[in-house]
Amino acid sequence: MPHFELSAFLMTVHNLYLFDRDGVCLHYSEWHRKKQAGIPKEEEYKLMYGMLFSIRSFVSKMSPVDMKDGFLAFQTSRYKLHYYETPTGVKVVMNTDLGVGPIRDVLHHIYSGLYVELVVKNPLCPLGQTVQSELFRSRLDAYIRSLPFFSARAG
Amino acid sequence: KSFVFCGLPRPLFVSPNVFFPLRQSGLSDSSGVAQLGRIKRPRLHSNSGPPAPPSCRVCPYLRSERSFYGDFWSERTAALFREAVVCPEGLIPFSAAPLGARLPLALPPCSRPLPGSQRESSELFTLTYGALVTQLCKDYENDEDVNKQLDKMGYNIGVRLIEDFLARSNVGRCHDFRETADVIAKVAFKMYLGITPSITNWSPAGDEFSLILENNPLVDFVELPDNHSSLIYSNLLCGVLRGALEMVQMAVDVKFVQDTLKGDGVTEIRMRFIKRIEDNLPAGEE
Repeated sequence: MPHFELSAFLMTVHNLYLFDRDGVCLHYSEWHRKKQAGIPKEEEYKLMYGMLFSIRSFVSKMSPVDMKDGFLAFQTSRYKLHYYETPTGVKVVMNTDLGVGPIRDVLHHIYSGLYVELVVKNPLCPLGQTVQSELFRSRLDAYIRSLPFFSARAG
Repeated sequence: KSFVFCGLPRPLFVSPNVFFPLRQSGLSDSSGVAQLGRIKRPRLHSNSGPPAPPSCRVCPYLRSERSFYGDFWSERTAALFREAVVCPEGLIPFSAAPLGARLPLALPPCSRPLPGSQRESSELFTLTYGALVTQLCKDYENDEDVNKQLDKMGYNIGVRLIEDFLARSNVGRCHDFRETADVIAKVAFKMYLGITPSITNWSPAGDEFSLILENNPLVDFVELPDNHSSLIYSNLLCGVLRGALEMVQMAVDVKFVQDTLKGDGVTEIRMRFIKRIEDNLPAGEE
């Protein structure tokens, strides 16, 4: 009976960024991040946003065919970055393990079921700045932890 | 509206990632190949057997049904449930989830109770709006100021409403103003006010059109008194449309040109495209 090396199949979510249409980082959480960027968080958010902005316009300019969804994800040898953007400019960015397939639905749910429900629909939550809502943070955390490709033991 | 209960037996769910690690786990892939452990069922036709369950986006009861039906979810069966059908647990009614969408497997449970019937909540809405306008008329002495305030309030509603609209309707970016007009009239108005205005009077350049509302739910019990003849009672709607479209990069001008409250036969809203708002680079970037 072959013995499966379980740790090879434990996938996880490393971290998550949420940006709005002006580049303000609405939310950032991390679960398994072994290496930091080495720059202050503010600069890291700006770097991430700037990169995404450039990639988006690059992708649409250089596309050899008519574009449908635009930029979806990129991957390196160690992690994969998933991207989801709404027509209003809200961007959900999630870094996961390589084994994770397309998770557009998950990112859409983070937008519709969490951000819209708990932040946009709350008149006391101002838009255009970092989300202070503790409810949002905890629900998001619970949701990510409940995802099938999130493993608490990995990383 | 009565509960609709689907009596079909539940599918057996075996999570593939535990036992078959070489297979990509998570959601079904876009080619629609059945995952291991999922029972294949014949195509469901709307005229045979019980209708398919409504595709509630967040109801855990229906989630398994929906992801099971997946590729076999037909346009016609979904159309049967577009009105206010509730799921058996009295949870959130059918919202315009996209057909064939793959729902995430892990969703927080529904916790919101269903509001009262459609009629009761729309009366409450009309009365609330009326109270709002009355109070504004008391606070600001002249009609012009009230109109401006209504527009401003509408704008603040619109910038948030657009996010809710995109979250629920899953409409993508519109390619031109005509598509925008269609989405506004057929999806947005239907979703929020329960009416479908008609689109007419396109300008030759295609940058202006009119929305004709046969009935306006905001003015259900309202008559304008003589001393408020220049009050645009439903001006909130103009603000909402302006705010919502600004968040999707469109600068528009919206105004009422006919109003049943002022004696016209129909209510007509004229929308004019001004310009496209370009994406801003964050400050400090070149």
